[in-house]
Amino acid sequence: MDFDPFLVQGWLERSSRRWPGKTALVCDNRRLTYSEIDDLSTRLALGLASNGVKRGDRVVLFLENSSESVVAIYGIIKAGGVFVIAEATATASTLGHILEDSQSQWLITHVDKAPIVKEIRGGSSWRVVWIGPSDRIPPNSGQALLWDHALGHREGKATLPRLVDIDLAALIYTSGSTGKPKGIMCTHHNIVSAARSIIQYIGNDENDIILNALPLAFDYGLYQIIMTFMFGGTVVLERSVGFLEPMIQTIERERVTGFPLVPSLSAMLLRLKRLPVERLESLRYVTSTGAVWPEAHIRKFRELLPHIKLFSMYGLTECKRVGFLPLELIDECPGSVGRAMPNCEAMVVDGSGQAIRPGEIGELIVRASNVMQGYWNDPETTKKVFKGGRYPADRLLHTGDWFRLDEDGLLYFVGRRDDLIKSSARRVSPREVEDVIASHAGIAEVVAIGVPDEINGQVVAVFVVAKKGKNIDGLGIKAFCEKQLEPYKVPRYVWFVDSLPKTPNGKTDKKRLGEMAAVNREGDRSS
Amino acid sequence: MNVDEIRSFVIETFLFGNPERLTDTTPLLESHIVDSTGILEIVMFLEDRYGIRIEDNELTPDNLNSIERIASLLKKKGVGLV
Repeated sequence: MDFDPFLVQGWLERSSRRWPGKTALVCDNRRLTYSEIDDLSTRLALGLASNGVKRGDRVVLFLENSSESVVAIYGIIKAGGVFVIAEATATASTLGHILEDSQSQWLITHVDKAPIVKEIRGGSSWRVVWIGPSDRIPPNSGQALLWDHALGHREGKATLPRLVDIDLAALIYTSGSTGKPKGIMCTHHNIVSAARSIIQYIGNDENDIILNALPLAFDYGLYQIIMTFMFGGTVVLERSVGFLEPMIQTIERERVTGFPLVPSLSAMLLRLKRLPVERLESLRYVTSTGAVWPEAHIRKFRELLPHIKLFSMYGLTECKRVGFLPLELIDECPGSVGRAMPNCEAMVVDGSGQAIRPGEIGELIVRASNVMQGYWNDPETTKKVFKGGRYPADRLLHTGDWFRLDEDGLLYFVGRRDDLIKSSARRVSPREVEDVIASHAGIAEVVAIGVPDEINGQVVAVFVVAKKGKNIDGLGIKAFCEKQLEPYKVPRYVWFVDSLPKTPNGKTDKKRLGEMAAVNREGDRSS
Repeated sequence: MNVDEIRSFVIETFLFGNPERLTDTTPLLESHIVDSTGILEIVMFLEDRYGIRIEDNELTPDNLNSIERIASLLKKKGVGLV
C-alpha cells in the first residue's frame, strides 16, 4: 500500500517517483521536471548538511521568486532544517530582525541583494550561500558558500537526518499588532494538513497548472508550490505580479487552470479597459484570500467568466486557512467567506467563550491540525493567541477577527479586535510604523491607521505632531520610512496636526482619526 | 511632454523625493521602486496628464518599465518632447 507521505518533501519525492519527467516548475524561462527538482534539492541538502546545517537549524532565504528559491525550500527541509523566507523587498532592518529573531546561522541569497546584506553583516556570525556570479560576491563575506558548489554534493560523507512530522519545517514571518514581525512555527504536519484540506475543496489533480505571481514569503504564495508538488501538477512561478499583459500571455501560453488572486490583483484585472475573457479560457478556477474579496469584484468576475469556479476564502497565517464559500453560494452570499474547510473547525464565541447566535458578533476560534505551533521566541504572545483546550494536542487559535454568523451558519467578516492594517493582503502593524516615525528627531507624537483604498483594500495613513521649531514635511517622513520599512508599510498619507484627539480615558481616539482621515482625503480629492 | 515631469512623478510618488536609486534606464519593477499597483498609478498619471489612452495590451515592460521607455511610448503616441 502506498501511504501518504508525512513530510512536506515526501510529497515531492512521491511525485518525482510517479511523474519523473513531468514539468513541475516553469520559472525564469526554465522548465524543471519533478526528478530535477527532487535531485537538485537533495544535492543542496547534502551540501548544507556537509557544511554543518543540522536538524532544526533555521535557514533564511532572501530571494526573488525563482527556481532557486523553490529548490532551496526543499533542500533546507531535506537537510532537516527550517526554512524562513524574508520578503524580496525586505529592508536591511527587517532582514536583520528576521536573522536575529530566528537565530539563523545561514542565509541563502542572490548577489543582487549584496548591498542590503552588507548593511547588516557587521560582526554577525551567520554564513551566506550566494547565488549568482562569484565575481560579484562582496569581499569580507566570511565563510561564504557558492550555490553551485553547494549543489555539487551528489553523495558524500554527510547523511540526511531522519525526521518526524512534528519537526518544524518553516517559520513564517508576519506582522502582529505589536511591533516587529513574528515567526509563526509550522510543523510538517501543520503544513501537510492545511494543504490537504485546501487541495480537497479546490479539487486539484495532476492536470492543474497554477500561475503563482504572489511572493513565496506570503503563505498563500508558498502553498501554491507545496500543494502543486503534492497533487503532481505544474506551477508557473512569476517573479511578481508585475505587468498584466505578459501575465495574460502566460495564462494563454501555459494553458493555466488555477489562478490565485488577492483582492488588489483582482481590482487591477477589473480595471483593464476590457478583461480579455477569450484569452482566459484555459482557467478552471480562481481563488482569492488575504483580505475580504469585495462583492463587486465577485459579481463582475461571475458576469465576465461564468464558467470559472470562484473560491472566496479566509484564513490567517497562524492556521494558514480557515474556510471558503461553497461554490453554489457564490451568487447568493458573495459577502460571506463561507464555512470551515475539511478537517477544520471554526467557532464564533462571545467574551465568555459561548457560541454566539445568528446575527450576533463574536471572535472566531479555530481548532484543527492546521493550527500552527505559536510564535517563535515569543511564549507570552503565543499563550494569548494559541490557547489550551481539553488535552495537550487540543489547541484553540484565537484569531482576533470578529465575525457574525447567519441563520445557515455562514461566516461574515466584521473586523479586527486590534488595529492591524491589511494592505494588498499583507499585514502591517501600526505600531511598527509608529515606532519608526517616532524615532525621527522632528516628531513629537504619531499614530498610524489604515484607510480604505480602492486597489489595496487599505493603505497606511499617519497623523503626526511635529516638535516645535522643527521643519519637516510629509515627503520627508515618507523618505525616512522608506529606508526602514517595506514599500507597502510606508504611509501613503501623512497629515500634520497640532495634537492628537484623545478619548475620555486618555487614549488616542482612533475612531475620530478615521473620521478626520476621510475628511482630509475628500479635501485632497477636491483640491 | 517633458521627461523631467515623468521622472519627478516617479521620484515624488515612489521614492519620496530621493532620486538616488533612479536613472532613466533603471527597471522600475525589478529595482522594487514600483510594484504592480504603482505601474497602474503611472498609467493613470500619463493618461490624465497627457490626455492619451494606454491600451491593455500596451501594459508591458517594453513600454513602461523605465523612464526612458515611458518617454518613447509617449513619443509613439504623438506626445511632443520638450
